[in-house]
Order: sequence, then structure tokens, then C-alpha cells
Amino acid sequence: MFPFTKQEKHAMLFVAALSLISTGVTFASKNSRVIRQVVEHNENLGKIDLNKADEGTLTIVPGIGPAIARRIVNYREANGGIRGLEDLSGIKGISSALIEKIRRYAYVGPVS
Amino acid sequence: MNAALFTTVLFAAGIAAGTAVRAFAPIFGIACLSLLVAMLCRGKIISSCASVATVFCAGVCAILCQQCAGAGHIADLGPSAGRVTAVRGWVVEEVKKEEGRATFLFKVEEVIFPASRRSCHGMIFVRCPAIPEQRYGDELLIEGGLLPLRFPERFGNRSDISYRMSVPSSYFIRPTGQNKGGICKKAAIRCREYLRCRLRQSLKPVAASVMEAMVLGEKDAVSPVTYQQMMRTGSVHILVVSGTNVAVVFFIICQLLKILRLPRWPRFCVTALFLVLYCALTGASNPVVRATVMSLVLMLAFQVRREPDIRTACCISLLFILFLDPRQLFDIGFQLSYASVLAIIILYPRLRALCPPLTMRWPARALSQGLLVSCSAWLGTAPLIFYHFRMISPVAVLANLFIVPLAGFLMFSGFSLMLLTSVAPFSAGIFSPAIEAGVAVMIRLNDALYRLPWSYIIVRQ
Repeated sequence: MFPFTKQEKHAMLFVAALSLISTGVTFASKNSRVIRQVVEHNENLGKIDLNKADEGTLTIVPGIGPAIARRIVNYREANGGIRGLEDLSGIKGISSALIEKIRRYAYVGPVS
Repeated sequence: MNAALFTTVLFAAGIAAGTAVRAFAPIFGIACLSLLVAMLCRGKIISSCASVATVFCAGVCAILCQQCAGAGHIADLGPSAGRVTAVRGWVVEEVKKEEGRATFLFKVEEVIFPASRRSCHGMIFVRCPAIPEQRYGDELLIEGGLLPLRFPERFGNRSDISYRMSVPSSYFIRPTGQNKGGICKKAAIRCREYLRCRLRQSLKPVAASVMEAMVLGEKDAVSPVTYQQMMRTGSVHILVVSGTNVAVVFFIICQLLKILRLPRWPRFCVTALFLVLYCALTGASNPVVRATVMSLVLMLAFQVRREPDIRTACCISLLFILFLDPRQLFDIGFQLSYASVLAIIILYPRLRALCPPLTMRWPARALSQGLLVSCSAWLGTAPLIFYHFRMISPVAVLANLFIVPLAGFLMFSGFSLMLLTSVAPFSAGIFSPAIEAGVAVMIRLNDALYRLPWSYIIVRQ
């Protein structure tokens, strides 16, 4: 019925599997909130939560060195969290240009 | 000890010793003399000792030859570099454009002083406003002063890159031609640009950036946050084109050629050609050159019906890279690449022998084997990572166990996407949801592993 070689079958099966996964992912993300949270590309994907990150993690963000990271953590502890990126302007050493830079790599999650 | 491994270790030791030596002629003399003795002497012990001396001295000579800048090098300008008003030359690598700025390596042919000009050679690092048409091979006249390099280690402390030039406006850059550069490199860069466009058109930005790194070796495209997180979890190697990518390309080519039913030798030649093309396409970084040479050696061994030995293949690739550029021995990427491969080759069988026989069913067996491979690579690279970055990543074993298979799936999908969309651009929709979901899962999984307690330890100096 299928006069294909083993390799041809493998290639076709791979394409079929991939398209099946695509369909499955699309359907599941439409109907399940948990799956959508895992697979969706929202604006926070690959960014750091400023309300959860420790000092070491904050230094990953370009433009934030150890001193500014320490000040952010101190500010967070003193004020019970960060409500918005604009809050950072009150921290010594953080200019509006740096806030714009931080915006590309970090976001403000819910205050715990 | 394996003869190839012994030769490689000796050659590398010669290179390391060569950094402390300045006199080329006496070492070269000793190398020639010992080679002569090794060729003419019939005594086995004397001949062996002479061979050892030859290989060691060859390593010393290789590094001394590379370090010698030669007469008329731009590094010789010394204090007068500050008086240079312009340089004439050409762009020797792909121009990297980011945030409206372009950076590239510029091969200098002439420096222009206020009252005179002088022919010279060597390279400088240029940072200037991005110009759309700027590309590899462009001949330019750039006005500006030469400044010392800020971070020489960024260029692997290469002696041929001596200065940097920061150009404030495109007004100071004048194109004088476009005739320099190799045709193959130009074609590879064009091809990479085309494939990059295909990925960006088919996928969401984050997924496209990760796939660009995984498939085309464009690690600059990945967000620094993701890159650093993966570095700390010890899974950053998947964002660098390496042996896994070459293995995937090799597998795809083999499968396609088997479908075409080509005979054995033409299939070998076509596979080898495609592997070399892929190596050029991804910028011929150390891990790709290593994997390409290893694959070619192993394939050739199969073709000529010799027993393929992975250690010999690894050593040949190491010698090949060191012959071309002995300074690579001091490159962190080079050291990590070989440390991981050699650890897998040497440690994995020993670890496996220590464990009880793996008699379980295939999913559990695959998982335990993956764990042992991951463990071997971690043990091999951990000392180097600690030495260079003062960091230990205990989570690396776990991270690689889950992320590497996912990365393998993404690589296959990425290559399939590029192949298919090159022929039929409308077909992107078949693959893109799966790839985007895979990338999202990988980033979130890595983030979760990164946030585990004691996932990484940084020892402050």
C-alpha cells in the first residue's frame, strides 16, 4: 500500500508528527488556561520579575550592576514591593533611560 | 595512550609553553633537527624521543609565529596612534547591527596622519552608526582617532586586533569599493541573512531569536536575560551551534540522500560538502569546526572500512583547529567544547561501568543514559567553568537532562521549517505553533530550574 523506503517514512512521519503537535498545541492553548500559560508567548516571556528576583538575578539585566541591584532589593523591602517600573525612578542611579532599558528585560509581577 | 591523543597533548603543551618563550629561531632549529633525527634514526627510543621533541617544538613555533605581528603592523604605531586621522581598508566580517549602531572588524591597509600616510596591516574594531547597505567586503575610508581596546579579552587577546575606532556619524565613513572578501564567505553571509529572514517571518520574535541561535549560531539575537539564565543553569551550549547541530544536519542530509538513492561514495561527497557549507554558514565557530572535522573523519573511516575511533577523530579536529590558529587553545569556548566532548568520550563509559547493568525498559534506560551523559559533561566542564567564571551549577545535570532532548526536537523542527518555507513560504503555519510552544516551554523550564535553591553558586573573588 505504501511503497516508501524506511527513510521516506521517517521524514513523512516527522512532518506529520510536527503538524499534529502544532494542531494539538493550538487547540489545547485555546481551551486550557494552564497550557496557555505554559506555551504562550506573552510580553513577559524571558523577562525577570522585579518583585521576585534576588540581587544576583537582577544583575543579569543589562544596565543593572551589583550596587543598583542592592538598592532595588532594599527599595522593594522598604516599600513592600514594586508597583510599577516608574517606581524605580526614585532609586539613586536609575535614570529614565535606564528604566526604558530595564523595561525590555524585566517586568513588574504581582506583589507577594 | 592513544597516539593521536598523545600527539595532540604534546602539541597543545608546546603552544602553552610557547607563550613564555620569545626566541623563534632556536626552537625552529631544534624542531628541524629532531625531525631529521626522527626520520633518519633507526633506534626506536631515540626516534620516539625525537618525534616527541618535534611535535612539542612545532607547537611552540606555531604560537610564536601567530604572535609575531610582522613589520608594518598597526600595533607598531604605538603613541603615534592618537595622531591618526583616517584609516583605509575593508570590512573582514559580517557587520553586526543593534540599536542603530554597527560593529565590525576592519582590516587596515593604510593609515592617514595629518601630514602623511603610511601603508600598514592589522585589524581594528569599529563601532559606528548603522548604514543599511554596509556589509562584509566593503572597502571604506573611516575618519577618526585610534584608541586602545577596552576589552582585549573579548577578541581572545588576539595580537592582530590592536585598536578600536568609535565613529560618531556616518558622515565620517566613505565607501571606496566593494571588491574585497571571499566569494564563499559572501555567499554564506547572504544565505544566513535569507534563512534569518525566513525564521523571523515564520515565528514570534522570542522564538525566532532562540531558533536563530540554535540553528544559525546567532547567539547575539537571544535576550541577554535568557542567555545569562541558561549560562547559570549550564544549558547555554544549546544556544551555540555545536556538535548536536552538526549531528542533526548530518542526519537530515543522510536521510534525504537515502531517499534520492545515491550510491555510497557520491553520498559521502555530497554529505561532506553540505557539512562544510553548514560550517561556513554558521560562521565556522570552534564547536562547529570540531564537530564537522570529527564527522568527516568518522565518515571517511566508514568509507575506507577502517574502524572509526571517536577519540582519534576528536584529536584530529583539535589538531586541525590548533594548526590553523594556536591562540584558540586559550579561548574559553574552545576549552569548554573539547572538555565536554572528551569528558563524554572518556568518562561516560566509566560511569556506565560503575552503575548496575541497565536492564530496564527503553524510556527509563534512555533517561538513565541521558543522566550519565549529562553528568559526564558536567564533570568535565565544571572545573573550567569554576576557573573562568567562579561559578558552579549543580542544576546543570538536571537542566541538560530535560532541555537537551527538547532542544534536539527544536533543532529538527527549525531545520525543517527553514527547508520547507524556502520552498513553500505558506507552509510555516504547519510547524510554527509547535516550535513557538517548544521555545516557550524551554524558556519557562529553564527559568524554573534557575529559581531552584542552590541551582548555581557564584564564588565571589
